[in-house]
Order: sequence, then C-alpha cells, then structure tokens
Amino acid sequence: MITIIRDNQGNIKTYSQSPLESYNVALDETFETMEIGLVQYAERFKLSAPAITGLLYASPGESVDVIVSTNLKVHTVDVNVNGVIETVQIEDGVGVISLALDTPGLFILQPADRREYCAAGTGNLTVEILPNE
Amino acid sequence: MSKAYKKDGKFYLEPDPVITARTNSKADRAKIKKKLTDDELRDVIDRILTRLDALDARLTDHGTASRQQEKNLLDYN
Repeated sequence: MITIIRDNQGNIKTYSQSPLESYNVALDETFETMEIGLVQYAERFKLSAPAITGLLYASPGESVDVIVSTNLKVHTVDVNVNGVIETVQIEDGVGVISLALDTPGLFILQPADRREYCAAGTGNLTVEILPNE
Repeated sequence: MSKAYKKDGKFYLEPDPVITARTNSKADRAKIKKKLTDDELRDVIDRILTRLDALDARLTDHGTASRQQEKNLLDYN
C-alpha cells in the first residue's frame, strides 16, 4: 500500500510506501492511500533519456530521444515541455519525444496532468544543453 | 525557462538572451581591451544589462519567495 499526498488543487505532490502519519499537512494538502506497490505506482509515468532519469547534461549536438513510459492502458499521454503540452502516442507502454540539442538552455519535461501522474522522482526530466566554451 | 517550440517533429529551444550574453562574456572581456566602434560598445553594454536584469529578477524572486514562506509559517502557527 502507498500513501499519496495531493496539494490543494488535487495535484499529486508525492507518494510513499510509508503511511506518513507524522507528515505535516499544510496548505490544504490531502492524503489518500492506494493498494499498489511503490515501484508499480512509480511506473505510471516515467521519463528517461537513454539510460538517464532526472537530469541529463548534454553538449550542443544533434538530438536526444526522451522515452515516455507508462504501465497504464492508455493510447496517449500529455507531456509538458517547457510549458508546451505535447500529446505523445503510446505503443506497448512507450512513446518518444525528440529534443534538438542545438541551443544552450534547459528543457524541463513533466506530466501535463498532475492529478493523474506524479512529477516527482522519475516523473520529470531536465535536459541541460551546456554552451560550448 | 527557455521557450520551446516544435518543428518537423522535434522540440527546439528559443535562444535565451541571458545564456547568449553569458556565453559571450569572455569574448567581451577580450574585446573591451581594444578600441570599439559605437555599435560594438552598444552590443557589449546591452549584454551586460541583459545579465544584470536577470540577476535583479532572481534577487527579487528570492525576496518574494522568502516573504511567502514567512507568511505561510505565520499562518500555520
């Protein structure tokens, strides 16, 4: 069983295998529990660049494919790319977003629907394209 | 955060003027040791002001965040 904490807008903030009994619920956050394992829940929405989760440093170059994966039976997942919502086609639990790496800066990817998917842990990916010195 | 846009199936970043100015900083330092034309001088000053504005915005944001955090604590207590 896991415990899920939502903010006052209903967005999933985080989740834990612990019952979080001593968690300080502030700002109208709410608790709920779900009969599911932590790993299984974490795989509802996962972003990764080749073998990398969380943060990828890249040099300016061609492009990188970000893998969007989910263990839910869905055909599409909406992903927020720097505020632009991209509907990704999912086949066998996997979809792809291609990022061009020609301009220094940050790509920040996270689930667009924060009530359905959590952006914590492997649910978000930052790709930093470092300038050439 | 840089703006992103999609073209031919790929996401691209719009060039961030602050990062561009930062990337040019070494070249600017070298450049100001020589005599500059008015246009070159204007460009260097523009890049300095761009970076100063970004720094100023960060300091202001931190001030706002601190005040909000303080308010949350007061509300909670």
